[in-house]
Amino acid sequence: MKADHRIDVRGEACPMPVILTRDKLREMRDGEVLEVTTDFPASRDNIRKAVTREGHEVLGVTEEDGSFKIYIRKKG
Amino acid sequence: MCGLRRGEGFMGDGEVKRITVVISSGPYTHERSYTALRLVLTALVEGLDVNVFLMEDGIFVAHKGQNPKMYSNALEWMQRAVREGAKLRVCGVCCEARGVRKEELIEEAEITTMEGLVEWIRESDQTIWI
Repeated sequence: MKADHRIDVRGEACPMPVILTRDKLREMRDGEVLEVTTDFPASRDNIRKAVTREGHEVLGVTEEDGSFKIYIRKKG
Repeated sequence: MCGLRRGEGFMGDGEVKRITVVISSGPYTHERSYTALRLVLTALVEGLDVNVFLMEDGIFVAHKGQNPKMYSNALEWMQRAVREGAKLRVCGVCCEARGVRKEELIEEAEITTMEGLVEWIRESDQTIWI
């Protein structure tokens, strides 16, 4: 999946993955896609819930070699 | 804990909108203040109003100029929490006992007394002592 921006939050303690994701989305323009890489299933779920709650769209989640990539389209 | 909406049963069955977190452990000796700040930030992200009261060695969380080489910087976490909307009060007696002056703490820290803590406890749905 093509992304306009990427951040890697592997190794970050909760709640930093959510905060860093939210910070990045705030810098982006409406419609752009962010790829977030995390290595912790709970962070994956927290990020998905948090960005959905804030009105963004989760386009998909992939898993590879123990890492997850979450694709988020910025809304608003 | 994560994933709850504001007032949706955070740490209990009742509706919780505001918490006061009392931090009484200093940074870098134990993990408690770091864990407390993670709790504070998570609660803020989840939409709760959060008060942070620093007392005893916990006052050093708000001390300027921290530069740990091997640990996560407690001051940066505290400042982040303030930027996210946390209110910050510090026990004045605890500061005096440790020879810490107001100007050594970050500007957002309000030096107060036990009355300041009691006021926050009264206003909060939950008070957590760490």
